[in-house]
Amino acid sequence: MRKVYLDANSNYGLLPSVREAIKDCPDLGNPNSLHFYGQTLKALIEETRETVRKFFRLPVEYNIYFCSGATEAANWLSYSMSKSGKKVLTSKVEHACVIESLRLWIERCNLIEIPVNYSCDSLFEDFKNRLPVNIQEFGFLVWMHSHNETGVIFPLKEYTDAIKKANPSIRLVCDAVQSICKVENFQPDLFDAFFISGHKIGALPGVGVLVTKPDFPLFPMIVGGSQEKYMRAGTESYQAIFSLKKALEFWQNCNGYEVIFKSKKEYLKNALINRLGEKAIFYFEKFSTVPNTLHVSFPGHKSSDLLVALDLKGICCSAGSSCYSGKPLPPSLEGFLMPPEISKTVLRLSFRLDISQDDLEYAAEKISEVVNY
Amino acid sequence: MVDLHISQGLQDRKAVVAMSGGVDSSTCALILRQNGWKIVGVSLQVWDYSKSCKVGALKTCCSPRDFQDARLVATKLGIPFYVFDVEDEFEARVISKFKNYYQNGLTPSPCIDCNVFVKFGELLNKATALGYPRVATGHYARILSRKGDLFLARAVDRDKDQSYFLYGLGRRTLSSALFPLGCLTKSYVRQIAENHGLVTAKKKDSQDLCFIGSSVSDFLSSNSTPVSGVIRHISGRALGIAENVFSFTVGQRKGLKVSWSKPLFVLKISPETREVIVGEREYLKVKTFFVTDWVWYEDFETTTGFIQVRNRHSGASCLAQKVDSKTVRITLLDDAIHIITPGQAGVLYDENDEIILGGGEIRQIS
Repeated sequence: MRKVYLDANSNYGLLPSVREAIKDCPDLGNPNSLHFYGQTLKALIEETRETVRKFFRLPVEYNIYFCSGATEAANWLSYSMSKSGKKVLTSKVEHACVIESLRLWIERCNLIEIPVNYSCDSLFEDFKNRLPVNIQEFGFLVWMHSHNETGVIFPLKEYTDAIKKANPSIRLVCDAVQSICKVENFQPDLFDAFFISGHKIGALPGVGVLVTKPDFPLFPMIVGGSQEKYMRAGTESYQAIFSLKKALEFWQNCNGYEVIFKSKKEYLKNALINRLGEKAIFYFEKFSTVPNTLHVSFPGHKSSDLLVALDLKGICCSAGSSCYSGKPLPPSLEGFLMPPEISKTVLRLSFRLDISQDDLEYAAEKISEVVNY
Repeated sequence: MVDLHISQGLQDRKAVVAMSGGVDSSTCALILRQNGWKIVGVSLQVWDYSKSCKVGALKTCCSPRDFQDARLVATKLGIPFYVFDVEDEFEARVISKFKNYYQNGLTPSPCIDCNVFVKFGELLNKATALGYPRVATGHYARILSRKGDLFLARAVDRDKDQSYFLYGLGRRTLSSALFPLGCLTKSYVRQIAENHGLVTAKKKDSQDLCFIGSSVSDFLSSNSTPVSGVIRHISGRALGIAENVFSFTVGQRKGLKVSWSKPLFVLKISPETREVIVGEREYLKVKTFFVTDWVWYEDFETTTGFIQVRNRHSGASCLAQKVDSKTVRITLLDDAIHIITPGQAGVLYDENDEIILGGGEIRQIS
């Protein structure tokens, strides 16, 4: 059966250039061994670190740490922030790895979560109106760059400017997972710490990067070795790290990917509108959104039913974060104050750069078949 | 009578298989697959097990561990597999009735409700919407056809027969049901599973209600407000305290925690007076009772047959008389003592004790 992959936000899948390159990745030795093989792997890791630095144009004093992925990075940051004893302000729409690690590590009285109104006209005004009056008492603002399910890109420059006026010393922590290699104007210098995930950009799963400014109070959470300058113990997943290097090199050399993504998204959106008209509602497209992600509601259709029906027709998509496997719907749309009668009818269609127009057309056709059944 | 087995709907061989993660539903899927059916495996998430079970202590079907096994079998068979969240439907149609019945002195049959409202209700609706007009399960029962009418019959393996739990489907739903194991013995089913290397081949059968962690009594205590009362002998003498009046079942012998010269049985539960009436075995003797919400497979005014009044009851010879379209009066024809429990299903089989003529819920006992 013909398959169309519309779940790139859960796992982009290996880029062809990465798949080819990792065949040649050395596989003997431990990066921390003194001998030839160890040195080879160590060099590979450090080269990747420099690739990351170059990709984000980071000053040399910034710290770049490799870890197992975004979930570990989020937990690591939450653990470190908890050591400061300072208040943390975050959104209710963060990915589970952020919100749940904050809830685990930060004292309840020090954690304030604010919602985002999906029906607002301006995300910035909505944010401003929800800021706590004692904002100057907070040590950290934790906010995602773009939302993993809806694709909403938050105006973090405006947020930062506004919040720094009231509290110049507040540190900004960002989950950049879904924006990297999709949004070209990501500004790393806005943040005191941010993290990305390898498998969201075409590398192997099992690698993530945490970037911090030199004065960011980061503490080791996993101990028992000298890796990552004693900040993250455990033998580095060097093959995954190598795959990350190759993926970043691909995107670095891929001109205009954001424009390509945007045109394909527009094509898919129009194909759905042409077939389904008002049966397809795009609640979040009034905001700036990630160009490979189309969030759409089909009133009267349960997401869980749509997913199965579409899978049986070869269309592989999701209703939200795949990190929630037990329940078909993740809770973060509640953070957008979206009523369940809407949030239970949504699909997240996210695609790779190389998806063909024909595949998008086919997917729209199958989606309309299911919705009109 | 023609045994339909899996030949039903030969023109449109598409079915959703309810896969519990046990050997029966696994083999059911295997048989259909081998016979050219286009199938989809589905496990039903009916209950949030954190409400009633400790992790690692699950011994029922449909637990997360069972989903893993079902997925492994589906992978081996090369069929799509999904977990459907039907917690809301299960809560509304099975759990709430379960609690409500106990609070009214009745003993419910949640497996029957689950079959009618969840497996052949919600799941069948979802399957139909997906273009799969039938639901197949690993139940041991047979679907027979006589002059175009469908009937439900006991399985060939009488020890494993589950037709009692399926009477509520009615003729109309039977046309959308498949029970491929109805003509097979349990040991043969296991043999098939083993021969094909199914991971569930040697898995133990589940015995308990899928949503009950330890006991019905504990479940009711933690999911509804316990009401204490008195355990009273039928002679009027108070014998002890009932911690929760609503956790008793008519016919129950164990767990009464009262002292008496002879074995005592629960005869009646009175929610209004908060009393559990107990008495000696002879008081259980019942001659006549009524069965309501009757599901008709064959219309009759008066007929004889065998009435099964609970799981593993061998069936009692009886006279059945139609009272109205929803009620049948049952008169037992032998002198044996049968524990008749209000709320449980009474299912009437024909004179050969093989084909279901109808069934309903036991109510008024005299």
